[in-house]
Amino acid sequence: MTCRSSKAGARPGLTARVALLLGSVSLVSCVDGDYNKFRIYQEPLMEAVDSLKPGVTDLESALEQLGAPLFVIEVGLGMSLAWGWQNTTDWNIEVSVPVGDAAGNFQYADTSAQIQGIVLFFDESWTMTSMQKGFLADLVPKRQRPRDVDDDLSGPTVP
Amino acid sequence: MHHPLQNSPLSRWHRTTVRGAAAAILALSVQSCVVSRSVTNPAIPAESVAQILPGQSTADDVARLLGAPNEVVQLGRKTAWRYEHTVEKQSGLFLVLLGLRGVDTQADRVWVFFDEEDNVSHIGSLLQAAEAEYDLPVF
Repeated sequence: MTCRSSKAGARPGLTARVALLLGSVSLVSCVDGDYNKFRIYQEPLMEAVDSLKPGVTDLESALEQLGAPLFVIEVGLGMSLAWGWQNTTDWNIEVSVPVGDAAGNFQYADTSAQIQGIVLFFDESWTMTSMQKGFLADLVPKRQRPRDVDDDLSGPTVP
Repeated sequence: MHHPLQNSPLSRWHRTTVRGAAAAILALSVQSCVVSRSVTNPAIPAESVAQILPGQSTADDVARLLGAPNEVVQLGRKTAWRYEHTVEKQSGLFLVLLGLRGVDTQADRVWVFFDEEDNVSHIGSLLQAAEAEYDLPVF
């Protein structure tokens, strides 16, 4: 038994072929999209950030202006304090289409899922020496083993 | 040829149940939503934080008021203690082809700095955990 859907020798039109292709793809593929919103912590007031001055601002005023930091990391004889936040929306679209025995997969992600932040550096007297802004992952110094307490020149000497 | 149970009440009940289950599965797959809330560490009472006074409070006072810290950072002969309480609220609406998801993470966080004698020298706090919201993204 044979089954013919068109006249012998005739080819289906372009519209029919496109419809057939789209129909096939939609039936056998998987399209999935996500629209996400992330809010992690909160950005400090810019007026508070702008009020911080290297060489002038001490730890007390920095904590008063910005509140508790995310991280405190020892840096040399001083330290760095980091504040971070994220407030973003992003798209994530994934299309999976079987191609023969294999599976084709396409993914589009419009994401800026990085925490922005401010890092303040303090010297051994806990006076601010510099400020950096940007993505926190790029700014935060790597944690190291704590220094030897004998290196702490600002502290009392051990008898 | 007809099956002997084809039109019996049992057969009709079976077909109705199957159709109902199929409709329920279809409805669930078409649209669902999720709401969740997760908390890390106990809340930090603002009145306890207010009792920690630089120049007066000691490490013992801080431990009595806030308990064991989540982190201790050594700064030469000085130290800093971190207390943190986090609330994450997540909401999502999932359609056939599109999912909408909102995640809000807020924290109560306190850093207490001690001098060489374990006396409080500085304190910084942010109490924002209660501000976490269930919030779906809008276009």
